[in-house]
Amino acid sequence: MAKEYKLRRIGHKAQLLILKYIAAGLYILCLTGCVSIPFQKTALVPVELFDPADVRQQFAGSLPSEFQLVTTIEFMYKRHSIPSAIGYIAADIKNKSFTVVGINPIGGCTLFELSMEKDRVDCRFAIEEFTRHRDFANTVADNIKKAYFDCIPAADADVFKKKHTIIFRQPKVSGTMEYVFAGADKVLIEKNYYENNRRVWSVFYYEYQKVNEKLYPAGIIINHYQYEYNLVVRLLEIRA
Amino acid sequence: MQRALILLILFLFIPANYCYAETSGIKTHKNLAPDLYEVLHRLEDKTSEIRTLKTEFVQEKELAVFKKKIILKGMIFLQKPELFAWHIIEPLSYSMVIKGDILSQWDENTKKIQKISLSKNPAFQIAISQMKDWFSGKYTSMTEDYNIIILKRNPVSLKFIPKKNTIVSNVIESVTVIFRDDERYIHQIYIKEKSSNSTLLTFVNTQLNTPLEAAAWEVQPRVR
Repeated sequence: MAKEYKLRRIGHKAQLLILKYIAAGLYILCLTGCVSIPFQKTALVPVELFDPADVRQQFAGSLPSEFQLVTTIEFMYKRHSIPSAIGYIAADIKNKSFTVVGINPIGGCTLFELSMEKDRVDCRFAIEEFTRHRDFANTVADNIKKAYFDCIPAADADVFKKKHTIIFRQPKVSGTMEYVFAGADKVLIEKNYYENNRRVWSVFYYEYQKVNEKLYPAGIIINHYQYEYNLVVRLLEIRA
Repeated sequence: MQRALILLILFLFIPANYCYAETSGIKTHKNLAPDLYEVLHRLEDKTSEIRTLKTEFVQEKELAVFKKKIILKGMIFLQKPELFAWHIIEPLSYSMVIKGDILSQWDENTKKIQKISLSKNPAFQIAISQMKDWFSGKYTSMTEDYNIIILKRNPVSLKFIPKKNTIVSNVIESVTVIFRDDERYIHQIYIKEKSSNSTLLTFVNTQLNTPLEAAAWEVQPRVR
């Protein structure tokens, strides 16, 4: 009888555990805005033999210092989706500058055009609906920075090894930036920014393409958990 | 966000609007120079015979800040009175289809079909209704919103300059429309924006009044 009761108790605990996992899964789904991933995830391999310093250095060497890309950009906010726009991005990583133009695919009209030079954002043009939002230009610039800049952890970042990932953590602004490397090519697959132990935003990188010995992610997803938006960026063309 | 979506749709139709002009002309044609009225009226007459349209297009976007153009290719379908489709095939896959009251769109990023009821979204309805009128091939009332200049008579080439204080004038500097030799459809549309960027739309393999396949009205991935 006691044994049966114990088993029932264990069964109950297991059920609770499963429920917790389901709840956690649903919570994560909600946090990510239930965005489906339209890209192939990087195939994971054991990383125990990888030297984190080499991983960091090799990846730093494989990133282009200047590039021009044509992409599609999709913006989703609380389940609302704005039709894809075409994004033309020209960036100079070393000089921390870029220009980005958003174009409507149907008809090709310019939706916005802005540039950033040494943290100064200059919005050259934006349709009225965008300019009504005071922070529009800064928000766009901020997301470009999240996606394409600051992709290499500091040499003195804390390093944690898991079975399939190498994680670098370092202080950033008023929180912590986390860089997750994985795969046979030891590439950056994820960047997470935390404040007060809560993840504020993440950038996920998919399907790296090698052109002239430099790596370009064919897919980027930015999830902003605090503001509940997702950005999906798909690479169409590299004009390096 | 809904407002942003509506404005994007409105904005999206701005370039399409130039393909054909508005209705009636009764209000404005009296103010037109006789030669311009004659040209617009003749074009209206010819395009009013169109029942269906199937055309390939090449959209070349020139950005002032970059050297190379962005080129998109696709197909446009129109069947009076209530079917319209714009499919982009290269370099991305994107479709927008309007069937009566419903606007559906699909793109390869989400791989999802998004449907919008026009009757439940009056702003969308206005945009679509305007677009349909323009695609119906009536030109003279464009003069309410645009100053029109005849650039060339053979083939006909018209320049539309938005009048001050119109919504379009905030975005567009001018639109040049070049008609085919037979004047039954447009050969090219050149849109010069306030942002100094420009778009050239060239229509090729245009078929008028041919039966259209049912697949034209489906929002689904097209073969690249």
